Amino acid sequence: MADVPATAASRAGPPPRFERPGTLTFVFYVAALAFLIASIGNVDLSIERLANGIPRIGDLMGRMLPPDFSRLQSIGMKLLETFQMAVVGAALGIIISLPLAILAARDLSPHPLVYTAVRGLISFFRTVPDLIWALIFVIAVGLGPAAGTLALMVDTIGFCGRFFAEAMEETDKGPREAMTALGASRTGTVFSAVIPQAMPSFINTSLFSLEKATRSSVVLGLVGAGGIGIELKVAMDLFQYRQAATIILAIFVLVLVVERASTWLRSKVL
Amino acid sequence: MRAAAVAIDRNAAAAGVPIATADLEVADLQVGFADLPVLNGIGFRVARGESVAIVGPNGAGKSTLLRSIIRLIEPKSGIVQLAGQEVLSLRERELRRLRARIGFVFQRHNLVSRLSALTNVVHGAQARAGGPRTWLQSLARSTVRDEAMDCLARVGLAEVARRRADQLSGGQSQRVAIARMLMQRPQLVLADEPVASLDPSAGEDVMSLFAGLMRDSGMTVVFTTHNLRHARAYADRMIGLAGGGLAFDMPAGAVTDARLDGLFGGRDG
Repeated sequence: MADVPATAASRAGPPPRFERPGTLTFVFYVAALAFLIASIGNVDLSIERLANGIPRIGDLMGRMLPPDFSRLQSIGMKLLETFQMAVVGAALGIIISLPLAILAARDLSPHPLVYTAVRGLISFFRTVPDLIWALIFVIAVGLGPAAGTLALMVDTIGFCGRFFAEAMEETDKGPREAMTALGASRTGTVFSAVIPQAMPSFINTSLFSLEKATRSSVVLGLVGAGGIGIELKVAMDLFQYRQAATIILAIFVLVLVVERASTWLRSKVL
Repeated sequence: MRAAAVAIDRNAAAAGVPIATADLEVADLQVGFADLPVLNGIGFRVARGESVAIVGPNGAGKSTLLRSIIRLIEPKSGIVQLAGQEVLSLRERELRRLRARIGFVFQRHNLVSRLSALTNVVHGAQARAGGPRTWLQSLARSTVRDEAMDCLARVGLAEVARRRADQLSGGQSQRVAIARMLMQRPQLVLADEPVASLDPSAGEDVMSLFAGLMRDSGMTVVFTTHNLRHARAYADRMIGLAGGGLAFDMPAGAVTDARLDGLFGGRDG
C-alpha cells in the first residue's frame, strides 16, 4: 500500500480533548456552582446533622421491628382502595387525555389558538403537584377516595396529554397524507392513520401513568383524599411504629407488583 | 442552460384531445414555495381513458405537479379542471368528495404499518362509506370487507390480508397501496413514481400489474416516472417537464431519444 502523504491537519495533531468554554458559558458554570453551594448552606444540611440522624433512623427501625400484622386485613382493604383509586384515576385521565392530546398536537389541532389553549391547560395540570390537586378536591367533593381519584385523574391528564400529543406529532406523515389524498376527514385520518401509529407510545405512557398514580395514591391520604396514606399518618402520629412498618411493607409490595406487571405488559404488548 | 436547450412544444398539448372528454385539464398552473417557483405556467389536458406519463429530471416539478392537482400542495394560481370540477375553488368538504374519486399512488406505499393489509385496503372506502366503521377491518360492514378482499385478490395478495403492513415486502406493500386505491373506485388515477422505491425486479412486476389493472378497467391515468421504458410501454402520451415548465407533450411513440436526451441534459433518465 502506498504511503499517504501527511496533510497539514495530521501534522498539527488531533484537536484538544475539551473545548474551552466561551466567556458567557464560563460565567454560567460559575454562577450555577455558586448557587448550588449557597443552597446547601441554606437548606441546613451538614455532615454533623447527618451523622446524628443515622443513629435515630437506626432507633426508629428498631422500634418498627418486627412488623405488627394484627391489622393486616384492614390494611389490605385500604391498600385495595388505594390501588382502585390509582386505576380509576389513571383510566379516567387516559381517556380524557386522548381528545385533549389531539387538540394539543401541532399539526392535528384545528386552530393555533386551540393548540395554545389546550397545551397551556395540560401544562397547568402537570405543573400543579398532585397533593395540591388533592387538597382542592377535598374542599370540592369532601374527604375520601373520590377526591384522591379526581386528583390522580388531573395529574394523569397532565402527564398523558403531553406525551400522547408528542407521540402523535412524531408519527410518519406518509400514511396521513395518503388518507388526506383519498378524501378522509380529519377525524378519520387521526383514528385511521395517526392513533394506530402512536399506539405503542400510548400504551407505554399509559402504563407509566398507572405506576405514577399508584405511587401518588399512597400519599394522598395524608391530606384526607382517601387511600392508605391516612393509616400510615395515624400509625406514625400514635407512635405505632410496628403497624407503620406493616403499612410501609404493604405499600412497597403494591408499588413493586404494579411496576413488575406494567413491565411485563409492556413487553407483551409492544 | 439545460431548460433553454429543451424544445418547448406547447402546441402539441391539445393535440387530439377533445375538451369535452377531458378528465383532467390544467392551465397556467403556478406553484411555488415561498419565493421559489417550482411550476411556472404548466398546461395540458388528459382525455378520459388515456394514460399519460410525466417525465423529467430530478427537481423538474413532477411530484409537485401531481400533488398540486388534488391540492396536497396548494397552487398559487391557475386552473385545474378535474372530473368536471374546478379544483382550486373547492371548499374543504367538496375537495374531500372530489379526492374520494381520485386514486393517488405514492412513491412510498404510505400504508399504516401497524395495521393489517386488509384494514389498509378498507381505508380506501373511508370517504365513500365514512365513519368509524372504515377505521378498522374488524368494524367494517361485510360488503366493505368483501370488496376489500376482492381488491387484494386483484393485486394477488388475498393470502396476506391479515398480515401487518410492516411485515410485507416493498413490492407487496406497494401492491396493497394499489388495492387501497382500487377500493376508492376511482374515476382517475394519479401515480407519483409508483415503483421508484422498489428493486428493479419488484418494480417491473408492480408496474406491469398497475398498468394492466388501469388498462383493463379503462381508467384515466397520469403517472410520473424516471423510467423511460415504462413511459414508452405504458403511456399513450408523454409530457416532459424541465425547470418547472412544459418541455413537450406528444404521443409516447413520437418522443425521440434526442428529445429525451435534451430533457435529461444528455443523461439517461
